[in-house]
Amino acid sequence: MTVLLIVQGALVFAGAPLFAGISRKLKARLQYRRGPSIWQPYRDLRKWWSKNAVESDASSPLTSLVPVLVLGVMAAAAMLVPILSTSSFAPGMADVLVIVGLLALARLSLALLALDAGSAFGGMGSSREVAIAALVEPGLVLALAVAAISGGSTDLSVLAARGLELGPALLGAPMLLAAAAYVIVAIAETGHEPVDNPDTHLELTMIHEGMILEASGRRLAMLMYAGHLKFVVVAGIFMAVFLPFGAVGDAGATTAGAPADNAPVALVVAVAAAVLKLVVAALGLGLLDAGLAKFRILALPSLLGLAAVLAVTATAAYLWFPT
Amino acid sequence: MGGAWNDGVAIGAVLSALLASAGLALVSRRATQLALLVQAVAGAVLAIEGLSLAGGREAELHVGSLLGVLSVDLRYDALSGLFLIALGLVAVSSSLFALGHHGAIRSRGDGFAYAAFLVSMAALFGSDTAFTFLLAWEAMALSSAALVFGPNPGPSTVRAGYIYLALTHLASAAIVVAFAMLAGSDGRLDFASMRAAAQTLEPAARDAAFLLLLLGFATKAGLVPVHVWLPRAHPQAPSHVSALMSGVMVTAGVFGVLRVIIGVLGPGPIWWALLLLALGGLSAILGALYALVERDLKRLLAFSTIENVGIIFLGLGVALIGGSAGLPVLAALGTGAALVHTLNHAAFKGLLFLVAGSIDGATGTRDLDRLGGLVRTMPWTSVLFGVGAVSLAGVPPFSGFAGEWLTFQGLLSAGAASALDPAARLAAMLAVGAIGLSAGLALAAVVKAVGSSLLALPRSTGAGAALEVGRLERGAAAFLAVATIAMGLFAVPVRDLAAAAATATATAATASVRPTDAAIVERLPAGLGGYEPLSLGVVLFLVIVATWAIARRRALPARRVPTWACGIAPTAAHEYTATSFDKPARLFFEPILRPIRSRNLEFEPGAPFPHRLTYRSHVDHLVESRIYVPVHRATIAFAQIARRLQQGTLQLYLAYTVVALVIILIVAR
Repeated sequence: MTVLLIVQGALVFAGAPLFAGISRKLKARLQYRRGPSIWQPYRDLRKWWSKNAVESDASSPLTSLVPVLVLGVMAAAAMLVPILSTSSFAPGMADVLVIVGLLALARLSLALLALDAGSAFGGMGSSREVAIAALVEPGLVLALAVAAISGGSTDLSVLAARGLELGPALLGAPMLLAAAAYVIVAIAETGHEPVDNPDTHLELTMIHEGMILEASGRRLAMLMYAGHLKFVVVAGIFMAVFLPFGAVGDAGATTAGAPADNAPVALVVAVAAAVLKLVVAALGLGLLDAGLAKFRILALPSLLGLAAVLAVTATAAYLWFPT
Repeated sequence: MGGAWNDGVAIGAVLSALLASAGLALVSRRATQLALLVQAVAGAVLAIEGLSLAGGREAELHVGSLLGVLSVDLRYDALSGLFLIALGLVAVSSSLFALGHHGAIRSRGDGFAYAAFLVSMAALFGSDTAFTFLLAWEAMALSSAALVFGPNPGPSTVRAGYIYLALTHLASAAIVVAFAMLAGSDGRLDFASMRAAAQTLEPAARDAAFLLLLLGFATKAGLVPVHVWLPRAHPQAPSHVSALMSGVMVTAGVFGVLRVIIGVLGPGPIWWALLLLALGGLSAILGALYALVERDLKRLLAFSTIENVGIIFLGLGVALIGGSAGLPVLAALGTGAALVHTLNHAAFKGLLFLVAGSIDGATGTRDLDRLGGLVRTMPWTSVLFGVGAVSLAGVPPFSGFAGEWLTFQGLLSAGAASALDPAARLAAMLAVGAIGLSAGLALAAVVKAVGSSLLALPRSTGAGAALEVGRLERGAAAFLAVATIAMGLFAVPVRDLAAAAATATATAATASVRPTDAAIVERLPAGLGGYEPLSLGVVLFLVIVATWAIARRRALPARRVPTWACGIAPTAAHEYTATSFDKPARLFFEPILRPIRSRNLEFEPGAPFPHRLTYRSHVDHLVESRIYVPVHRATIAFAQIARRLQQGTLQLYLAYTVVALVIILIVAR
């Protein structure tokens, strides 16, 4: 298990920026551009890391504290999510509501940072971010609640183990509907089209970029890296709850039926499965970014309301027609 | 038994000291200061006593007899203990705050009312008979109303005070009628006899009593739609009183549900529980939404109280579901969630109201649009505000999250309980969504409140010239801040503290408890998951410190320059104000909020640019405009018609008598 966790840590912390690179590359190719290399996010991070920061003279110590806080919280959340196996760095602490709460803690800090410099752009981004997040929240908790009541737990490790046990039977109609709801809110949560444009620097439309407009140097690097980790956290929750297949189960055996003494094979399968799922998610987001225009902000309640309705339908389906 | 005697003596001493402080407050302004000290000490003793009671000890007090017939009977048990902790904690801070804050006690009458307010709450949480309960309930309502009015009330204060008095008396009337129904044939008014009598009532009468009691308790708790007094009255009172009103007095409604509806009425049909869930969910969402679009800091906090009371009532709803379905473990989980959130909310909301009082005193305004930049001028107050804010926002590992998490677990356990009707399970799941939405909105409201008051540049001269408040004042708030952080990190011990009360309540709520079930609830169940904030806090701390250590290695110094404002010199006028901040939410929730915006440009003749711009924006409060305003209009219209009957001539009145007599004879024939 220790080997698994080390590999998982390496995959999450070293690999997180890669998925943004893949997603951007696909977007560029779909727009008939060559686009930057998939390694560009790493180069950006290194560049910002070694630059000195410029900060507003209206800002408070929050400006230097929040990037550390956001990155720390996001790193802790990334450590709590089980990805390669059913266990995480801190056993018994992978409660999905707590991880959603940690995302909220990071959002709270970032939204305050955005207001610190007194720039209207920061306020614009901050106010939109928290208002949209309020609409995201019901769909998010309801989608996870369906999984929690059918799986009998809010702990990601337990849910993943149960999914591995059930196999494809996990994905009945209720879970499929809940997964659809989760996908919608995950797009909003990670800031992709049609909710937010991750590449825009047009002040009237940006949300996440607006919040970090005043950040620079190492602080910007930390915030961007935290954003990359957030993608892995949000996707990792999805993988543990709805798509645990391929991960190493409790006994060290994969669902493919590999014997328990065949741990290296199971590890390779688990890594391959996790990377495949994350790359598919990154490609999906790239496809959305290239293919969809941003919705009018007033259309967002309908989109995010749809997620909540899907999740409630999933609940009703589970309660009246349990399979 | 010896222990129980000591508890009784201690509480008796506290109540006597508080009564003495009421007398002391009337003597002179100087004596009022002494009274406040006495009250702070009394609060500390109450909190300690509460801890001892919550562990399962009991205390009884019988205070003389009034009118020779009715005596004041107090019996404090584990449930009382938890509410005494909440009262004691907030009372310590608010009394010390009043001592340090200039002009907190506006007159000798104010000091008297404050002491009476404390005594009445302490007595309410221990009342063992309907008479004692009503006596304390009314004393609490009247003393708090006196504090809302103050010595020289202005027109808006008078209006707020009367709305408060009207609704609180509606609540009292409903409770009196319900008590009369429950008193039974022998007319005994102690809760134990009333419980026995209540079990023999017909279902329809029990339902009626439930609805009346719920009307009374929901009004005091500030649930939508009987909340309209709360955002008016709470901000009008001095801040140390607002802290007690929002932190502790609203929980009298919660106490009422636990002590009277569950403790006296006992188990009921499932629709009782569903009604609580509906009211709780509605209050959670609307409270958070109105908090988000509010500009006045204290009104924002008052609306957030409505939100949190809604969440507490969702926990109570789970308790009633468990009771109705004969699932004591579920009932204990719901009660525990409600009690933990009650306790946590008391501490952080008390803290936030005290901080709001400091800000109001230092800047002269509570208008978030006119604050800003206080983090530089009032650093201590800002830190205290931050502590309260993260708790209010419901993020781990702080205390607001602990209660919300437990409530989530209660609702999810109800959703997962296969013994329940699917409709009830779906209702519990919808309530999960309601907490999700309200938590999201509350986080937005917190960002708005903190961001627009503490950060960036000050937007008024008052905010710019603010000075940090005195040591005593911020020390009083710091006491609650430390308590709040501790209650967040030690959420598991806090939960265990509520176990005895939750078990007792669950037993009272459940129709038939098997001995095996009673054994299960000795320790509070954790629902479907695990949340240990202390270990989470340690993990967070270590990771953040590691990040910080890496980030400071060979870090280059930051250059400080003016904020980029597209080429012009940045001023406070470029900032996002509180009103700008909630614009997206106002647009998203347009069908509920019905925002009205009017902009008026005035031009000098021939000038290209306006010389004056006035801007007004307003959001509608649907419950008020759709329920209260029509009822008010109809009442006035009816009064206009009815007063035509009053012509002042004797002959006419005699004619009325004759007509009435004839009608009675016909009807009663």
